[in-house]
Amino acid sequence: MCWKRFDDEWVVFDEGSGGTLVADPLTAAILMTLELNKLDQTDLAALVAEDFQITDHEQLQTLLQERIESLMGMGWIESES
Amino acid sequence: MILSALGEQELLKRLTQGALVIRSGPFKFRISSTIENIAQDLDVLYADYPVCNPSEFADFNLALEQGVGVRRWWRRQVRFQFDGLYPFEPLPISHAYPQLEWAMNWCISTQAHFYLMLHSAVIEREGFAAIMPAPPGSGKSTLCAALVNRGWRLLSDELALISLPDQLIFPLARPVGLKNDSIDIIKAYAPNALLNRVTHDTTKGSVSHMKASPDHVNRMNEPAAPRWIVFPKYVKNSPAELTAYSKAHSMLELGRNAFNYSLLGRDGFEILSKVVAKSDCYQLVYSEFDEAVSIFDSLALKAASKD
Repeated sequence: MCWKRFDDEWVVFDEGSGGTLVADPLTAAILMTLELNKLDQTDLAALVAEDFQITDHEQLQTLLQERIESLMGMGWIESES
Repeated sequence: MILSALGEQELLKRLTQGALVIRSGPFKFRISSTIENIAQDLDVLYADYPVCNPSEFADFNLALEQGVGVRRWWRRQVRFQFDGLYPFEPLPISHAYPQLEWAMNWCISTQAHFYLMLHSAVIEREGFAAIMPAPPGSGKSTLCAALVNRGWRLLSDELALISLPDQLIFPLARPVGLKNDSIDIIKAYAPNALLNRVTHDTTKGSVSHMKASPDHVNRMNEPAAPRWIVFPKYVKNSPAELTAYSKAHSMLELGRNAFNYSLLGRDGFEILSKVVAKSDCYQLVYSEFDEAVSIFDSLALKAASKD
């Protein structure tokens, strides 16, 4: 994937599909993390929490779930289960 | 030599013999047709464009042919032929001239992949280009026509040609397409603007083209650097308002309005991101040309004082 940051937003281009997406920092972090590793949601949350220095893990899980569902709906990530 | 120097007879001769090669921006078009009105419209709209030697290489070879069979006499038709192919359905022969303009756009947008091509109007001031991408019906060509009659230079009302190596935007300086109410609106706003005859009942309604200023045609080798991206929207009775717009979303919208962004793949992404990075991005709502022109002039003034 190709990345370009403008202020607090990212634009990401998937060479495979030709799709382009505007991502907020959390969505960008999810995609960047999953680009490097296959992870389950717990491990993903742990890495993202570390990146963003988030201590409220419950809130993060909710936000992650929303973003993951959105990205899956758009075909940017897929579940192996 | 420019087209007006050919004279009526020579223009007609070259056109009917496939020997008319017109240059517009970086492209040479060989145009052939035996349809009588084409020469008249070319004479009005392309008088100031360079014509090349008939034997010279042309980037695009277009023919506007008369219908075949019974269509040669009854409900006559025009057929656009490009390199032996007929990409479009035939149209009524009265639509021949707008068909030529649309065909020229089609040739560029489907072939010239050595540019990143955006569906957008582009104008220039002080060496800086304002890109105005917008969907059909948003008033981009009409606003473009107004601005180029108030000190801005026309690069294109339809296609932003972005050079891949350096992101400079190259002019086409072709006639500006106007339709329906916009025709009379521009005639009233710019009484000296020269428009060709109106063609009615096309797929876009009534259409006409406004001649590009000779000065803009003379400067069609002069590219401009991207400086602003403005998404215009005509809203009746609305005061003109310019608001900053997210660069990320501007890039997404530009990609959607591009002819070959996906085809260029990673290069398309990299080039578009550089264009956006170099530009201030805005949304513009307007109803009065003078207010919109004043906003554009302020942008130019600010940029000129900075640089």
